[in-house]
Amino acid sequence: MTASEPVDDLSGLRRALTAPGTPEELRAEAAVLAAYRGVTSRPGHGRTGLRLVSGLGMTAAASSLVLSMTAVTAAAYTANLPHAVQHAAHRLFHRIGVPAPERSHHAAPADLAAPQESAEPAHAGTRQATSTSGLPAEARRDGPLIRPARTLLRVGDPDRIGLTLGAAASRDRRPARVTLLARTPGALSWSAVAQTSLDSRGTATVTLSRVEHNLELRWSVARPQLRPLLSSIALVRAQPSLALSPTRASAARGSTVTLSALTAPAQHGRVLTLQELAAGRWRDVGSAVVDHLGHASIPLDTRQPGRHVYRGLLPSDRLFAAVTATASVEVTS
Amino acid sequence: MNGLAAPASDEARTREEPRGATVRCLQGRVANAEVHEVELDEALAGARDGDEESFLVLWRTYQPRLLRYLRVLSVTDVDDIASETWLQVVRDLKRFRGDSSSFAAWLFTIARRRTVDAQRARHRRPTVLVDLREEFSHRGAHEPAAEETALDGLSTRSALAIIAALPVDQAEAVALSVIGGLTAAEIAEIVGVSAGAVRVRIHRGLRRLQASLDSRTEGATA
Repeated sequence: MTASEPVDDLSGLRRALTAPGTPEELRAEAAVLAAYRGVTSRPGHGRTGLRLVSGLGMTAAASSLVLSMTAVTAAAYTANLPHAVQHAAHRLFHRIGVPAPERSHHAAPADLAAPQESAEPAHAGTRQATSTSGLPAEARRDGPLIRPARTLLRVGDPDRIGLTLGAAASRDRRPARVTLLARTPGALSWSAVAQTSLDSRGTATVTLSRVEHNLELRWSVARPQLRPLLSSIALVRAQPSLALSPTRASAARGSTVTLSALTAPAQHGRVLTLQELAAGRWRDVGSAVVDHLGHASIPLDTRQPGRHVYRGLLPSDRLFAAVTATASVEVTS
Repeated sequence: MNGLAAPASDEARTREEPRGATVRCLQGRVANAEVHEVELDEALAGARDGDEESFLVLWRTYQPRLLRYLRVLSVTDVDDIASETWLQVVRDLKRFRGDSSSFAAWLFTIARRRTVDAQRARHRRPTVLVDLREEFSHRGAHEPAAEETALDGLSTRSALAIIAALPVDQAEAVALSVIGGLTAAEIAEIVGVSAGAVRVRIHRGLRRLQASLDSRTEGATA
């Protein structure tokens, strides 16, 4: 029993005292981060391969690794590498879901073995039920895998994306409650968006539709009397649509031509950059702020005759993936 | 919530799921403390490995709780003590062994020691609760709205003021329990009394709080 349990009838007080931090309470973030950097950057502070991956940010690291996995890493993900190599891959990438070799088939080398913790499940209702010691270390490190079928979707497309819970969670055959958690990148808390169960292979699949902005996704696999296992985080990026159209496809030199852009969903307040293809390279020729209806317009320079190829560019941000669109205008002399 | 899940297609379901398995769409926030605790454990492990994002998860979680605890204990130098506490955490984190629960106990232990040191340095008793008491007792000048006075609308500031109005030993025990989420045994370790004594303090403190809240509610509805 925790000491805080007697205050159940004072739930309003408890909620107020444990409310999320206010901006005022979190204003020292930059200072404390600088102190942290000062300590972790000192010579002698342990840096591993994991540190290098982590330094990119877990989400970015996880998603980019999924996108650019080499055959070796892909094999590691599916635990198909030779035992020693799988162990090394696991040590480097366990936080993004690379499993350890199957213990039932191979004994871990002593120098690579993770420290073993108690595998005894804790009793419900005790603090230990939610304590780290309630789970075997190996189970936590393997964790469930999350495998989006794709990591880039167009906003509003009818396409759906399947998210598979990898078989790493299948070693434990007991019933499990599988929940798909999602959040907007950068948010602290997760929302449960779907709940399912494991199939006979220890996997599960949920299909997402109507993805309207970038999402971070992870599985939670919960078994009775054990704290849930969380997968690594996968980033599914949502790309807004962008259409470019000149007021005239062909215009006389020196005439007025405007390029209109339409974004959906409306990328209100974002800056659309216009580039022109010249000598095989894109160079910036203008920019405009998208209005609340998703429109932006940029006047074109029609002093040079010939065919002008333009590209509109909306860079990626926290909510959306980058998107480009092209258009061309023929300027006649 | 955007990106709501839809059930897998029938074909996919037949292929991927056992007979009778269902995919249930959920909405709303995850009220799962266990998930949060697992995340904190992950963040702790990452922070020990030098991962800044992980460290920030820890800091954003515990910094508000730390400040609130310190506001119950002390008043004038809350930010300084919190900063010193985190500096020690940063310095010693690599050597820390334990999960997120014991991290909280460690954090509050450091904070309490820093508080005591600061108070000794200033030759004053470690029970100065002036600001919060004043705010609480002088609220007549700016009465809270009725909905804020009701329990569910209680602001964090008001809640801290209510706890700070308790006798100091009870206030600290209740703060460590509610704000810090610590067990009686962990609190006992921090404040240097037995777990039984902590339970008594919490019990008495909560009884006073309940009486205080009842009187506020009656006052608001009268």
